[in-house]
Amino acid sequence: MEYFQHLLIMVLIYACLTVSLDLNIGHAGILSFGHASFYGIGAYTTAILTVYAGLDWFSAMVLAFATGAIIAALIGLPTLRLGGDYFILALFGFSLIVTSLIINMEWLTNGPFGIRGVPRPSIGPYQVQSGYGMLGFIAIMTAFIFFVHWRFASSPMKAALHAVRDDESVAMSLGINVVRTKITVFALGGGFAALCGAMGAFYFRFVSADSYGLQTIILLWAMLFVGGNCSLLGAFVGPAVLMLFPEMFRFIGGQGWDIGHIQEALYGLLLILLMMFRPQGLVGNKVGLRT
Amino acid sequence: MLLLQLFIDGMASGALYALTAVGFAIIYNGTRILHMAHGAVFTAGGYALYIAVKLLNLPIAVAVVVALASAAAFGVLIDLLVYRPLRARKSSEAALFIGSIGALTLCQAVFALIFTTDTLYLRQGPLPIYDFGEISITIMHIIAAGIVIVVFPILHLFLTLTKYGRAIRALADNPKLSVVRGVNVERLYMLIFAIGSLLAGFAVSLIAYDLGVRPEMGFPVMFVSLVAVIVGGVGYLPGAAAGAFLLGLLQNLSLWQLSGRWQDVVVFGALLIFLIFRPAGLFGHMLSTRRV
Amino acid sequence: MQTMNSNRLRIIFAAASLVFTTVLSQAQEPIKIGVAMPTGGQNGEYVKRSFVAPTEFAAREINAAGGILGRQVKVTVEDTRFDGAGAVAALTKLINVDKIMAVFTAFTPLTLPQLPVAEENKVIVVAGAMEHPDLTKSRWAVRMTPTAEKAGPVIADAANKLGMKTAVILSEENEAIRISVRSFAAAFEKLGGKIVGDETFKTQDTEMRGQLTKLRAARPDAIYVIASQGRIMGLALKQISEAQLRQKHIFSNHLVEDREIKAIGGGISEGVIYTTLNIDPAFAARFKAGMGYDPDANAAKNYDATMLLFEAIKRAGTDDSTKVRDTIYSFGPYKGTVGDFKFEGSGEPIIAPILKVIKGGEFVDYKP
Repeated sequence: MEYFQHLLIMVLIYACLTVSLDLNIGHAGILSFGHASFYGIGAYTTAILTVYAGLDWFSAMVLAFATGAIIAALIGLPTLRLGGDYFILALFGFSLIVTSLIINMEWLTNGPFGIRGVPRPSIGPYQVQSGYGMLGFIAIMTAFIFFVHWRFASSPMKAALHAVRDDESVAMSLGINVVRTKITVFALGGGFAALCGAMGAFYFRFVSADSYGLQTIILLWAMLFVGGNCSLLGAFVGPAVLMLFPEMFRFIGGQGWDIGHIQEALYGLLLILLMMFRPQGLVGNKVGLRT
Repeated sequence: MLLLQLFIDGMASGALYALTAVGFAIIYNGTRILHMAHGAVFTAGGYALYIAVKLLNLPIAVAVVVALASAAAFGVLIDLLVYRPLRARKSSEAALFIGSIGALTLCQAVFALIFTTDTLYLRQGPLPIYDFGEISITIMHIIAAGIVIVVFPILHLFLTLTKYGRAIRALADNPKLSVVRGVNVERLYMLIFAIGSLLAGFAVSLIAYDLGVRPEMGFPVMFVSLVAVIVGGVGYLPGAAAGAFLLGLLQNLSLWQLSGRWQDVVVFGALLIFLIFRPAGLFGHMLSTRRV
Repeated sequence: MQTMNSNRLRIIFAAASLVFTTVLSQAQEPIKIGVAMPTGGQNGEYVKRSFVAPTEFAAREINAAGGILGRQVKVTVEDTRFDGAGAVAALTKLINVDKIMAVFTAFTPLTLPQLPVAEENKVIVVAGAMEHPDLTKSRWAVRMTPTAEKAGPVIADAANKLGMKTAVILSEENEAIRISVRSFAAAFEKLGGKIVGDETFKTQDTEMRGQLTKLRAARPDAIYVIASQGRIMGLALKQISEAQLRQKHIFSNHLVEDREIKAIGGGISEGVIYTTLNIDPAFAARFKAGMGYDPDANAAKNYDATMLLFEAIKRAGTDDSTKVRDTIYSFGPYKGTVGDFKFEGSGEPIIAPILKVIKGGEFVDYKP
């Protein structure tokens, strides 16, 4: 059933994105409004390196991670010292710039045409084809990304991060290098988002600038808060609910014309009700988030 | 000549942006809610205007009053139905933000269900144009400038001279202190939402008259407001207006030497550099308490 | 003996009736086609009117005439939303749950991610109005419109014959449109004209006054304005007329026929010369009687695409998607409501756009 495979793959990719966003927002208190751009940067890096430069998929994926992390570090360096609202705006501007550059740097990105024909990964002689193979590949990547985040959540680094998130001056007095900690974790978040972009590019075999804009950022934020932050399970639950909930309407709506709008309305209502009755998210921890 | 015309175009867009941005800023400063559903309030005002003009055949002046009142009422309603229950549960700012996005999505979808996604036009044909030599300007932009010149001083007087105005400013400066002094904060919130939404009503009346009404017309308004408020400096109302004008000017003046396709890169690149060198916004130094 | 005989007879009769009912039920099993398009969202209404309704209208007509090969046609519509993931979700649902043999799609960012899925599942992708040249590189795709690069030279030629020396371009940032713009610029300059301004706007923009101010300063003879949606085309024409460009001619594409431009009114599209395809008046009348509104060029293209699919199923004698696809690719001449198409070995039709002009609010053939 390609339909369920597709939905499962999308939930997994978004779960990876959400857990990497959680690294920034939940653990470090960095309200990143640019996460979808790193996702896009990863997808485009992968597409350009495999389609135009003829690189193999694995090197392209590693380089996508590196590109995402480096760009995140470069943009984080001057902006992470800004206050919360200003940081949101700075990254909002950054994401608009990224979209605009993708569309206008046609020599590199093929502009509004997008890049098609991204190859599927292959391991030795085995070429991953669509369906279960691709699902398996994405599942392995997801397991890897979640494993890294789980290791992180049980490392001493986490305590340092939470100290930075909760009170920067206290963290400083504890001898934590606040700026370096923040830039490191922001770069990691960007890198992992780029990795998700690579996964998406391998799956769809097509990248275009439309998929990494503002709508995606808002969706990611909603997924994180529906699931609940600082929770690996939450990073699964949020995307699962927000990806699968609208799909349900395909089966109870029949041939209705305006199902799309009814979906949207219920999606909005769901967000409001969740924030009222489960503000920590469906499975998030009680502490919630300090901004 | 080109530069002068672009400057005037920029000021004209800035005047329209300022009306929504200052409304957004009043709400944001007073309640600390990133009120994304301000876009839905804006759209609700547009549909109210459409109903008043096209379905009820009211004269335009009365219709505008209906639109203003509807926008104000809609803003208060969102506060009562969405934000107040969230506040009662001591929700975090992030939860309020997500709730606000939920409200925007819900309203946009309901508007689409009721009015369809077709544009509803209030008037026919191009706008009347006024020529001043080589420079020309539309009637809508002249009115927008007029409203800014009349409404903003009134707003300023209200906030500085009246009891409620001062209470709003006190709330913006320090929410906890207001509670201590026995001000009914919930009622003040209603007033804040009414005033902020009223300003959106002015902006949408003009825009709906020019471009017609659509369910998602409030969406871009949010970003303009967000940018203007933060560039101008959080907590300082004239800063938001200045931010709005700056944004309008940057957008238009960037066209002077470059193609329009580089507009976003130029405008937001400039904003980014600006933020890095002036992290508290244009008028950040005027604030006694700076939010970090 | 007798009992055995009657037993045998009974078995034969039972078997025959079983075969007969199976054949009959197969014959009655409808032919299933799907529509995966963004029916909600910003342009939902337009997509429904000009992209979904024509296919449903065609199915209704063919069903009223007794169906194809004695079978009825069943159309299932799924909303894709405007993103690639939603487009794939809608298509895979149609493939797995509704078992469709062909899908109708629209818009490049949605269709290109759908193509690999359709290819793997042997589903024919019919993108009636899609102008992106890459579409028909797929061996499962069909379109019913000239590609984007064919419009530019037609406009350039007409502009040249009208004595236009300079031209500016105002266009939406969109892949197919960028191709049209380039083909126009190249052809116009080859004919000795000069492009003195080239500005773009984004699909969601509402203001293009700054761009127009700049174009006005170039004092062009002609302006070529091109967009992919009626809403933004209407805004562009309205603001062109407000900016007082004083151009001699406006050139455009078929979206100037959209109802949004009529709704704005005020003669903003008067005199515009544009590329389109002709719509057969008999079809237009039938469509209006059935649906209650006039079909535009995109509606006619989607109707033609649907009817071509039905004709191909008829000619192939089966709804097996591979055979139907091969039949379409070798269809030869096909007389549609928007003119005569020809398919020779691929899903790329051979057809050229024509020019029309708006006179007194009517769309009439352009004669130089």
